[in-house]
Amino acid sequence: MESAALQMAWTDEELVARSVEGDTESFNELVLRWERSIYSLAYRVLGREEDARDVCQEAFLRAFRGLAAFKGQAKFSSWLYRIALNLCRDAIRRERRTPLVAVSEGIDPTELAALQPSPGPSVEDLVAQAELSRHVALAMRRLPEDQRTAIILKEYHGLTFQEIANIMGCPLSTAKTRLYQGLSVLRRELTSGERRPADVAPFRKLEK
Amino acid sequence: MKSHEFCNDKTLLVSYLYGECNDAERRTYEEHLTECVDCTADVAELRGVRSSLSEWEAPERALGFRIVSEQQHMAPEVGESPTSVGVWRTWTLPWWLQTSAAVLLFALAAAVANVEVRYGPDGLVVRTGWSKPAGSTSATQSVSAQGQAPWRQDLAALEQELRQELSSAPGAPAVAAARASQTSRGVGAPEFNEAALLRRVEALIDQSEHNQQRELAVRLTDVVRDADIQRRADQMRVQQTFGQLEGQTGVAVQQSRELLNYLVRVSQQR
Repeated sequence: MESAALQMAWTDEELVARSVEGDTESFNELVLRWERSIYSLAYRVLGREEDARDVCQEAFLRAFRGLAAFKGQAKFSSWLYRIALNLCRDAIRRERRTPLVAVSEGIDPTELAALQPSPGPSVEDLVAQAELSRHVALAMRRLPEDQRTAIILKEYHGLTFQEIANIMGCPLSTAKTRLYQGLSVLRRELTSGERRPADVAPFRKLEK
Repeated sequence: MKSHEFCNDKTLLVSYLYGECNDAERRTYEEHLTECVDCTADVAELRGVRSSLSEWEAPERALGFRIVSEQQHMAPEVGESPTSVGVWRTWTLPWWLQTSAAVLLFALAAAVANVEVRYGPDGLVVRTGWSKPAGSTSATQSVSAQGQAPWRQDLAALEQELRQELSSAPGAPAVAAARASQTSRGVGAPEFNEAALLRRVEALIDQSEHNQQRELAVRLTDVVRDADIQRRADQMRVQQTFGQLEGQTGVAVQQSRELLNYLVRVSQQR
């Protein structure tokens, strides 16, 4: 078995090749690299931590089992994103079928506030940030799934439009249109709501 | 009209917003922005939305997922596992069997080497039987007293017996003759003597071995019993210490409660 330092230097594709040959540790290095990304993707799409964790775990399991089918036609990460997004879609469908509507289960603002790096911002800032964060989360949740996914992949994962189109299996122009539509809806949602000072605060940043 | 096209088709706006257009496209679009107020407002507002989006953080979680090879985990169930796993599998014994085997092996080695192993208040004590100090527990004393070197006695006895018999062979021909006459072959007396001696030596060695085995068994039981006694004593001590700690905590709580009561009373008096 190779040392961890060596594994860190390898590219995703090299690690994939070694994993296909049966080196489990190489795949675990890939897990280590991508689990946070996949988790945050699932969290933003689904809005719940337990669901995100389940999707994340299942995505890596499926990727591991399906490694032989992955021929390197796309980036490993894109492939992984697609697996995770398919699982998210399944989870959303399941949720729709259940009588309980999950929308009411909003994100806990205190929890979000606790996640901010502690010593920096004041309590007021934290509350404002948590408010806005919650506001964004709720607005995002109301978006159609396609638009939401496009925005998440672009904003939080920094993928190119081409990558997004590949992952979502749509033409390049469609990916861009989805993003534009989603952003436009968010603009309405975020500005129309009761404009408390907390909501306005981040928009002031713009004027700089 | 070109500018009108940009106003309807928002793909270039999106590319521009995310800095994903080439220089020519960017210049063309910026040119359009100078002419079109609506698109300029659009870009500015969408930038605002993007800024808001950046506030939404996903919780940081250490997930620690790991893929563990099934072959490592469930080797006994896997039929076509590699040979190394197969080897591992054949050695899989129940834990109690493994433990007792280990104890047996250890005790065997200890007994053969005449080593005494004890777990006492000063930790694990290992020493050889020959360098034994005076103050040892009664349980081990009974073994060590006769077990200074159990087979030495046997060997000494054996040697003595052999010497006797060897010296008696030429010194007492009458006995030999008497024995020889029973076999009706007077000439074969020395040969017979030798064969008998050999058998006698064999018997003595057998007996010595038997004695040693018994000694080993006794020693083994003693070691196990000692370890058990020590373990129980340790358990008792630990329990007692816990009891004392609990008692101390109770006293401390009681004291603080009394102090609090006193303070409350004093404050009420004033």
